[in-house]
Amino acid sequence: MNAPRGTSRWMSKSVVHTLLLIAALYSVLPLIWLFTSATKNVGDFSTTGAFELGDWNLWSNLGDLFAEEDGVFLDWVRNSLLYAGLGAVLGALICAACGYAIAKLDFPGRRALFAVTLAGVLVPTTALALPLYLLASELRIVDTFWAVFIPLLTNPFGVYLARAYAEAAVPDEVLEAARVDGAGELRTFFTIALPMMRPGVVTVLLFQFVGIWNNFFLPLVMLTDPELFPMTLGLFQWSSRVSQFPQYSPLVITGSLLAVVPLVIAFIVLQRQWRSGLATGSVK
Amino acid sequence: MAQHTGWSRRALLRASAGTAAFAAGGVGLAGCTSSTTASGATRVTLWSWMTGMDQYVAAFNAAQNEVHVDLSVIAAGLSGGYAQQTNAIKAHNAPDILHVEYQGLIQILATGGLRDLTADMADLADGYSPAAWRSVRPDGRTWAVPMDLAPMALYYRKDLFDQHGIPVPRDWREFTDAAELVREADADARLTTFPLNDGSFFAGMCWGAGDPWWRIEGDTWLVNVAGEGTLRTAEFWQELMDADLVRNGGTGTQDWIAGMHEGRLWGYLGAAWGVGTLKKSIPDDTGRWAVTAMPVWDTNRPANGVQGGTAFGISAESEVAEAAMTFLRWLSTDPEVPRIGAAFTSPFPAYLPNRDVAREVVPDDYFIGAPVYDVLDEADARVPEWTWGPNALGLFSSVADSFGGVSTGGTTIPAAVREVQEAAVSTMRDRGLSVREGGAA
Amino acid sequence: MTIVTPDPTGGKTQKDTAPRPRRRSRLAPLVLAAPFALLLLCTVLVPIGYALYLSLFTERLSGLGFDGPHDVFVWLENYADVLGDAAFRESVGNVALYAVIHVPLMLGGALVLALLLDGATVRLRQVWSLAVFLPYAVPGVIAGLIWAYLYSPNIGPLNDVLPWDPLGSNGVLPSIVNMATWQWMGYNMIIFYTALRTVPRDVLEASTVDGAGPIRTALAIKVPMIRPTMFVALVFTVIGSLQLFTEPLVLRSFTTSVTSTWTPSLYVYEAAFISNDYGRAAAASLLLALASALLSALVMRLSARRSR
Repeated sequence: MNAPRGTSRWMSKSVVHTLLLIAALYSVLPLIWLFTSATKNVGDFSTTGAFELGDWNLWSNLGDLFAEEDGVFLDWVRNSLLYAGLGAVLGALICAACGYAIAKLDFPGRRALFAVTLAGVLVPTTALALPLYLLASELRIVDTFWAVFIPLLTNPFGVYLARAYAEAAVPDEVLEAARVDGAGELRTFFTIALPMMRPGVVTVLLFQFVGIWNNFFLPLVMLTDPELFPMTLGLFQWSSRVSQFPQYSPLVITGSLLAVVPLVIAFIVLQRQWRSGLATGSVK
Repeated sequence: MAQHTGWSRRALLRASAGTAAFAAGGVGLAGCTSSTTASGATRVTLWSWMTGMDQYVAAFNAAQNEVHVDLSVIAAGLSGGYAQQTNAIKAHNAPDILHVEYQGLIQILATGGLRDLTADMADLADGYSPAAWRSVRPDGRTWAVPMDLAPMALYYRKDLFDQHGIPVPRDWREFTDAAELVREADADARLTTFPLNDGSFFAGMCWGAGDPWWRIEGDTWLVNVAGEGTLRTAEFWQELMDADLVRNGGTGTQDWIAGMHEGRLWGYLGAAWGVGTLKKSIPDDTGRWAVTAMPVWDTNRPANGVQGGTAFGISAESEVAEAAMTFLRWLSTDPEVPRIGAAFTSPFPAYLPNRDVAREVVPDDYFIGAPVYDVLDEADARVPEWTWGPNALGLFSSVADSFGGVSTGGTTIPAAVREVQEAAVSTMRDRGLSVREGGAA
Repeated sequence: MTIVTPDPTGGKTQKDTAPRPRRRSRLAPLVLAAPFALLLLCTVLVPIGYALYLSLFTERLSGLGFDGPHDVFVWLENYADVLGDAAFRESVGNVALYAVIHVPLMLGGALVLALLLDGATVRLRQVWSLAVFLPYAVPGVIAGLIWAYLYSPNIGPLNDVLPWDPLGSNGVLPSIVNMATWQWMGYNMIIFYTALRTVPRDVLEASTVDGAGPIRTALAIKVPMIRPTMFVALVFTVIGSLQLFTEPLVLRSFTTSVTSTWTPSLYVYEAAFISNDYGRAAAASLLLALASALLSALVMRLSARRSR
């Protein structure tokens, strides 16, 4: 039919797909390496090719992982879930409430609060960690659950997003109607506004979960007691021993795989949620 | 003023903690700080990164009812352990027992966080290896309880040395010859590596050269990182590197292990704990390696350095110092400890009677040639005088940092050493210490 | 300040006492905003204030130092020390160079991929976008470890494939850029792609009718429409670049080429937790926060002018 045009379209189509394939391989190959390496023992790890499978040692590696230091890894899994799960739920709720209040309600200090929030977005968390540590050590709460948990609840960008969601998703008329019906502001928020903001709040929640799950600097400076460590810090601590005790390598690799898998699955399963949440957020 | 606002801030933080606690709904994570257990034993907290400490502690707790030790495993030394301990001392939440290595003792001492143990330890003086005992008494007072010592030795591939007729080097000149012979025998192989990233290794080398980096003279630190012995050591290694006779990568890495196993590295200048490292990371090499004394500068006055070694201090703020001392005496001197340790490591105790126990219980089936404990005992006896300074750990980092440019030819080891000396002196002065440059008069 | 927990019966009470809704509604917004405001106060403002206070002091030893340290008020000496410290200036230089490479590379890559995905001819969009996005789910420490092993000779393939040593002194900067680009490209691609989907289709159709090819449509129409999104991404990437910490820290166990003060954040960490110099660490922290705020304000300024 239209040969030349068809050819060029076919060409451009294959170029586009080749580029996408390269990007996808670049992104996924290191994760595949993580998986193949988690199945190897110490010997195969340094002697077999990077993506080759050696003897299948994944189960024994997992066994070793959970047996090391009386099963401290299980504590780390629990802590990561606790810091990130509880922190994300509570943090997202706090963000939603504040974002909604800033967007839809009037109260003294509203503009100031928003300004400080915006400034808070711009302060790097790494620069804050040390001041937080110094304060926590003055308060003698260094090396406690709260020293990590409370600062991670603070999510200025979440408030910024929640404000945008509230503005976009909660019409003033609905709130007016609720007020006319005599519903209190708090009740209006929890029963009417919050459900309307749901996709946005879920997005804040998901990304705050990832943020806390992946956080490293704050636990690094705050915690000493391995029983309070999240996975990231625990694995880093083990990795720092690798140079003296190479037998930690399989533990580090297998543990890393376990730290990555839940989030990868969560992102695959919750695709629709976060994609639509990001769409709402990016309108702003 | 600070006090007052401190309290109101604390109240604020408590209040917000309360909110979170409300939501957390009884997740029992808040620390429990009672100092006795239900059975009435005194609780002692211990921070350590020593491998197998959990097993020692479990054995101790099971053996008696007076003292119960709570162990927290912390990151190894410069990877975070020291930082955590020093910061805990500053934050007034230090554990009762602190993990110190000999090289870190003075630095921790300078935080004001250690208890003087002179009286508690007086009766044990004769039991310890003199090198270890000196290391915990920098100023004539005893500040820590020695656990083990890590004198340095030469590990080499006896099978390959024998096969190619390479004589085992006894001094550094012979070491250069051996390095040449190894390269001749196999162009891909080198005798050893000089780990540019490891300040403690270089310190150990200089220790063997008999030129201490620090000395105490009255109330003043004498700092001599660029002394004659150190520069001699630096030049020696620079020449080996220039001649491409040694590698310069780190030890203990996967790359290093593979190199040792596959015959690309025929030797290793390591501390006593190298025994365990070799056994564990390359078990397949059983019957290939031997241990011998470190090469020396002067065969009439043989000397070798130390790289590491553990001791434990008691916090100055500890309320249960006596119970902590009970545990440390057990850990350092009870014959049960090396017996437990033999199962997972090759202990080299600082307490001499325990070293005899270790010699009996640790299987000597990995190495060929002279018995390991004979070689290490000899090495221990050859350790010359040395004092660590209050900036020793920071100095290891700055040595590693300054050596970073050596591999690309950006600088040389002797030049880097002079740089480190200057930096060390000015850092110490900035901290208000009384410092004088140069060696002993 | 005392309002911490929302009163769970608040709604009900209000209904019962309907005649005075005005007073209630003045309290409610405060109740909603207070938890976050309190967090902001306790975990951002107060720590910064406290750090400011501490940055004016330093600890001094005397003699051999065996008696422990005492605090001395030194005005702005800590700030002068930090700014005068060659190691700090070097760390700033490293991060600046890193940012100059990483920011355009990562955002440019993300934009190109987003435009490709948005093109009409693409199949399996979900698969591509998900695959490229996945590294975002990998914690920085673990991304650091994975790549560090991949760079290691004899373990990873990269050391043999690349013409330079990825762990050598000239190789670590590109290596670290790669680690960060790997982690963040997919995330930003998704952000851009989502923004592109909101570009009205009739505008695009109009340009197609005008005879503009896909590349021209992309550059002349799509990119300008998502410019605000790109600026937000730019601000966050710049802030993120300044904070660079985890990847170099992890690499330190694998190579000598990353010094203990390689980035400003590592410098702060080193000052606080290895040198135990809280005053200098606090000063460096505040300088870092200030630089980051100024830089992002500048970028936002720029974006405001551009979008006008």
